[in-house]
Amino acid sequence: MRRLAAVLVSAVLLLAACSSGKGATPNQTGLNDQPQQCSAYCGFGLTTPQPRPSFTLTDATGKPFSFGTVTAGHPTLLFFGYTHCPDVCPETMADVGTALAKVPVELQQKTYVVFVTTDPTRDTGSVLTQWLSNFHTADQFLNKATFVGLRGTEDEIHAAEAAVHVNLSEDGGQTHSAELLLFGSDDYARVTYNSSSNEDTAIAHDLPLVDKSS
Amino acid sequence: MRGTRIEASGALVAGVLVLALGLAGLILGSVPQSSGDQGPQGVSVVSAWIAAPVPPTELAAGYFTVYNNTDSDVQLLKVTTSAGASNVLHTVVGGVMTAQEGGVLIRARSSLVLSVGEGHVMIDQLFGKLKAGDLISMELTFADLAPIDVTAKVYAPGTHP
Repeated sequence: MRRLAAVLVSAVLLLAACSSGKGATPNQTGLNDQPQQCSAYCGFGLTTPQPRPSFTLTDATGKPFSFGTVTAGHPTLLFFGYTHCPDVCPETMADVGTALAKVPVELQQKTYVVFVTTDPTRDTGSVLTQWLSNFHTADQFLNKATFVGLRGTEDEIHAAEAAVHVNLSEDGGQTHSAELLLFGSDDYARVTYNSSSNEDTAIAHDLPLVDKSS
Repeated sequence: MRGTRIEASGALVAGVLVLALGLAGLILGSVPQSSGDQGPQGVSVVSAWIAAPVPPTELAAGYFTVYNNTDSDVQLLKVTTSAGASNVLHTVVGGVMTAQEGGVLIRARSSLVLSVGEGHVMIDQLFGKLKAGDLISMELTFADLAPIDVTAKVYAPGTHP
């Protein structure tokens, strides 16, 4: 029942401008602080696993990046947002960085973190690179995961959003999904995170579970 | 946070208490005018903090909770800070984070919670670099109510209380 409720909440809270309300999510009940209470995953378990999508965008160096090909077989965290978002985006990425710092280095090295900007006008490749670097080079986030910033035209970004079944960004990218998806090494996402803070413990708990190759 | 209530029996005692609380606010930061687990009496502001900008962006976000434990609705008109020239209230309306240029109505016996994903004050045109540990003054202006000043501590991403 809790799982069903979580999925429903997840569906409702997809869209937000630099945010989605945390709402009455299970994580607010303290699951993150007590991972032993998680039934399987500490994030929102998806009732239907979602296959890793195929879409191609442009990386921060200007080269094509085929998400489905490059990240295949790797634990992958995927998020849509923008760097001028002062709220959900940095907090979500901070949770990712904190979580990665908690897992073994071998798992860090296998993991991709893909941030697709919904505001490609302001988020140049250089801005994306510098902004993302905060979340894997700062002392509290220090980790060896591969962080990738992706850009594209509005249509390309919408196509990528559609491919992972999150709501399409609007308002110049300032209204966007706040859903963080975790794909496993088996190329399926079975868990997502919708809350916008204090997800680090949940992510750190779930990452080893989706790494079947470990 | 346990509530603080002052019932001064004399001007001297009241003066000393006010001075002590004022000093505590200067030293500790994020000190509400009054506070309590269930919300204090009257209108009060608690749990104020600020998310530091993430370079290269130069935007910060302010958060707090306003308790309105009165029998009247209260209109929060605006927030100003010592961090930046532009301070725009945002709350979630219909699932979408929305700028509230006209302020926010806080119903009687309710509260306004600005937290990550729930709402924030977008702080732009910063007066200078903000770094974790800095203390920033915030003033909340209400209709038909005296402004409330609080001090908010700056936190790096992922480290907020």
